[in-house]
Amino acid sequence: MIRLALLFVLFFPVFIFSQTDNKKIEGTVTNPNSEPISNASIKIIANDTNGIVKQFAFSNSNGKFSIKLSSVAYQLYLQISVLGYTTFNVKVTDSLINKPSQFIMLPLTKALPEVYVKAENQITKKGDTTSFKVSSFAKGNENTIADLLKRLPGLSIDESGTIKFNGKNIDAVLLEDDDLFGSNYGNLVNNSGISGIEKVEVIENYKSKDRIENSLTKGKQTVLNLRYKGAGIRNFGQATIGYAPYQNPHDMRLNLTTLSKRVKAVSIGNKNSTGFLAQQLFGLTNENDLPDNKNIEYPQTIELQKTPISFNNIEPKNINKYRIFDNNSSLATTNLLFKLTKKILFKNNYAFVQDNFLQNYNSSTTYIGGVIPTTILQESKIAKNNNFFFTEGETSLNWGEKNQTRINYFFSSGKGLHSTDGFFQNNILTQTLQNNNSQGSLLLTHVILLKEKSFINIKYNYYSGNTAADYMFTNPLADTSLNIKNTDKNIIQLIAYNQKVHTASANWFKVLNSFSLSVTLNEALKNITPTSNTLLTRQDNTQANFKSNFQVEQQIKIAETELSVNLSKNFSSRLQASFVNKFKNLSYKKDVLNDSRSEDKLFYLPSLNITFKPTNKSHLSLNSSLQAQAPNADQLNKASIFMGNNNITTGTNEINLQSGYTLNLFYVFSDFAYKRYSYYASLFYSNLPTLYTNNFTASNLYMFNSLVPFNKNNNNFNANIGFDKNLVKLKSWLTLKTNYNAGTFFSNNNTVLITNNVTNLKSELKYRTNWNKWFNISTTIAYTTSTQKSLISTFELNNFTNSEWLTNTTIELKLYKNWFIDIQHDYLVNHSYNKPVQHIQFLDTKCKYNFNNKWSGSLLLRNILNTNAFTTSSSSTTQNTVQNFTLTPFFGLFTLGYKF
Amino acid sequence: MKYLTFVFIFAVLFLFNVKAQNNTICAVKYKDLKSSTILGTHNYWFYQDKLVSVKEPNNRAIHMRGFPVLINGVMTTQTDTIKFNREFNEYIDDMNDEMKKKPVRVTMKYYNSDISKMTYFYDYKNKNYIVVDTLQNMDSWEILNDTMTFMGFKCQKASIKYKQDTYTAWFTTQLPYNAGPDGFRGLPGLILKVNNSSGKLGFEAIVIQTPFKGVVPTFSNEGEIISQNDWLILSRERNSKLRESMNNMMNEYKKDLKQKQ
Repeated sequence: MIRLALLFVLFFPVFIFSQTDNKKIEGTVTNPNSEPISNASIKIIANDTNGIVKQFAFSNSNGKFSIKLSSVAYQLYLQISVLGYTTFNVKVTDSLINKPSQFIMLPLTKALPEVYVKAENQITKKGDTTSFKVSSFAKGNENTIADLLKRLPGLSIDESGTIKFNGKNIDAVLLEDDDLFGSNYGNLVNNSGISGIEKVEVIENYKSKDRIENSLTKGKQTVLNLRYKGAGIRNFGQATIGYAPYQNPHDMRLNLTTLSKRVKAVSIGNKNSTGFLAQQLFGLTNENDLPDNKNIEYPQTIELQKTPISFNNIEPKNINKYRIFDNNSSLATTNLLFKLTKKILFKNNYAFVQDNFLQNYNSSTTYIGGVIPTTILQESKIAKNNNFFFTEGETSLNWGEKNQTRINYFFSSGKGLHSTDGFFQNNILTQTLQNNNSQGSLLLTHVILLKEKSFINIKYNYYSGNTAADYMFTNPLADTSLNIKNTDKNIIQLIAYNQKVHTASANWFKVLNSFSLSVTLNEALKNITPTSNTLLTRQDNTQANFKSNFQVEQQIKIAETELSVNLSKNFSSRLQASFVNKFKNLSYKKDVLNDSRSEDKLFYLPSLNITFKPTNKSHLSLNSSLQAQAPNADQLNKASIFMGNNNITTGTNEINLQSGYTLNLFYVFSDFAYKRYSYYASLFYSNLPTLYTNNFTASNLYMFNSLVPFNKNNNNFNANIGFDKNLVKLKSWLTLKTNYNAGTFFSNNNTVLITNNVTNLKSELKYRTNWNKWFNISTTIAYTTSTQKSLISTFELNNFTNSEWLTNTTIELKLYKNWFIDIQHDYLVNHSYNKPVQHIQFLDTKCKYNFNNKWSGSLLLRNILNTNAFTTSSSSTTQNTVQNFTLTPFFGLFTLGYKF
Repeated sequence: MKYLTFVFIFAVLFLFNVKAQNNTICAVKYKDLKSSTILGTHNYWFYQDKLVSVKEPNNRAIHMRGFPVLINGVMTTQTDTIKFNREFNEYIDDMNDEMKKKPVRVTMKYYNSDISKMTYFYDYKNKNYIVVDTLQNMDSWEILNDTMTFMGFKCQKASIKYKQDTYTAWFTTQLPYNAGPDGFRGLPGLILKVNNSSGKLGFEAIVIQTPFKGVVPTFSNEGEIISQNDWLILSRERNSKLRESMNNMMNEYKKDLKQKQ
């Protein structure tokens, strides 16, 4: 019996083969009343290849059909389908072959399930708008908008939240066509979740419809527009709360986006001790920065005041910032937009930013600018407490269709308390710094649309800023020239400046056929009062003044008058050019210590912009301009005192007004829909006068260089190239980016000219997949190298090379049902100047479970490969520093999340 | 009691009347692969024995290239749909309302026939025509083993030599209609996607609704029946007459202007 069974198994395929050889199936398809059914679909289906159709026929008007069977070595099925009837399935057996049969179809007795499927392209381009469908790119494990944008082709985003599209900066992120954030959208993309976002649109050549003068001007901005699901009043957001049991870090986040026809609002809250500084989450790159909305056009660019003294944080390149800080940070912001009526628009933002953080490090700095190189050893703890409040708003009033008044304002108030404990040349040194900063601005704009395609735009701006830095250090070194004794307790330096600026402008714009003409008169009056005081505390707690050069109050008055004539022409719909003739008069007057100096200079500063669109997918632009360069308030303040190591002088104290030029060529080709690639190339060259940037911050008295004009222009060349290729249609992407920078800049040290030749190269190759929801990978390999050679005449002062390789790999897995696992691995090979090659790697894993559409839980294991110390070196013109710093240790963070 | 039982059984039989759902309609919107943007869709309604189709222009996409806006009393052509969002939407609504007032050009074809019928409106003579066209035979499909899931339907690949090119079709047996877009048919399931060898000619389903709930445009048999070739000759004549009358109007307008000057 067993043998018989084996024989059957062995010859079973042959039986099947034989049953289908040169045979046919024929018959009549009818309903239960024996009425013929025409157009029935009769198929022979194979069971070995997922049920695909091998042969087919249709029944004729009498319901008859005939199918010839070809020879196959597998089982076949006959399937008859007619709309409204149950599909008939039967195994093909000898009983069906060559014997006409009647196939009675049974009517369906229940309604068919309703199916509605709508296909949308993942990426579409209409005119200047490229639209990305979010559901095609989101994987379900994104925490923020930034996480989503990283997945979209052509878009890149840095740590502070600045977005680029094909190498071009994004000027604003709009929420359903409304701008709530201006150019400070980092806060939105770093903190807000993606709940409710349906589409992300990139709009090129955009102009805001809220400004009536834009009806006559061309759109110049590139913006991102977020489109949300649904209509009417909607609320989207997410809340997460996280805690790590052993190390005790916490992480709480909340964001809420409210959308309606008249009101839009985004509220963000964050409190964490997991290394994310509130200032960085808010979108600011540097600690002393304040938000600066570049989309508001002031008559003159306002330089927001920064603290004159700061202790630098240690932030090594290519290591994520959240691995560096031992922090406790809080962020609370609200951005509001009201369209009260069709005629009144009101916007206001509030932000409270608080950072408490600590860094441990030791460093060895060798100063090589002097005759004898000096080495300073420090073993320090930097503790910082920074707080600031910022509010900004805009009210826009439309008086009929031809008049608009806009009021823009901002106010900020910040306090910083910083301290370090360490050593300075074997002496115990404690430094304390208190910063106070408050500034505010009011801008009034009125626009009148005139007849015959023209308008007048009148602006007035008042700005007031006050910055004070109180710096104290203990145990100063004895110095007879400064009358400092060994027994003295501390020295306090008080450096402050107060700036009041009035600016006004009047602009007339007219369109003449293919020409447009714009004439602007601009006036600025700046009144700056910098003060410097230095006190010495003796052993008996009495305070003594330093020499008079340290007790300085200056008066600086700057007047700027500018007349600008802009002529633009549209040669065709593809070629436009604009030529700007600018006449600028700068007048400086500076009074300090009975020394009065003034400088007056008239500049002619022409500029040319050409844009050419060879096709709808490519764009070429050329910009060249002459620019005036003059010292700002901070530089002038610091130039008022000058110290060497052992003596004090007032320095040369000269005001230097010069001009330089820049050239920029940019080409982009972008076609994600058909050719599926984009590339861009940007070439930039500048030849600008020497900037007054020397701020030598040793751990002792703050010493400043004077404004010494060398009549030498800094040269800088930058080439930026990017290529984004969709390898498999919308499934995998390859991105290549290279940035090369080479330049010569000049600096001074004790009035000696130093020439610095600098090159930087950064190349990055990235492979990223969008295969499916189950497994995706993103891997980047980047190489960075920088060299600097500093020379005094032909004497080589400093010559160093630093290079780094970095690989960054993220693997995203979706396991059964709602389990997600994200693995991030960073591997860094650092070769710093004068240091052996160092390898460091980081591994994080996040496991997330979505209980349902709203609730989720996750466990984040950070710094699994815990390397809590890293040594790097940095160099500049006159110093080489080796730093050993501590990184945050391993922790496991449990998080519960809710989104709506 | 027996009487009540019989009544109950008859009531159940009446309620669940075992009748085939012959009126089940599957509606599919196809996009034309010829244009990079969707300037219009080909809307099909597939019955058990026939199909009805209508070409629907996408006014929103077409007029993004330019729409009229009154600025300072001067009629201008704008392309910025964000700045002029309100004007654009109003204009598109007007265009769509206008389109609704006009009769729809409907095509109808029975599956068991190669003849397609289409209504045309000869505005100039205020007369309707039914243009009858015989479609090219499509019974030489080669069924291939490739499959893919397209819009949630399992599809199988087939290819055919047609108009000196090789066309590839993806059909689904889950929708058992011997039909597809633009005369493509002859497969044991609805064709959801079809394109030529370069991928630039063809159609692709973008919306599928089954069973369709809504109003299907009706094909009217009222009108003079003519062949496709005769209709081409007729329409050329009509167009040249229209052009001529337009030129006459323009010439008269220019004459009037000169006289006034």
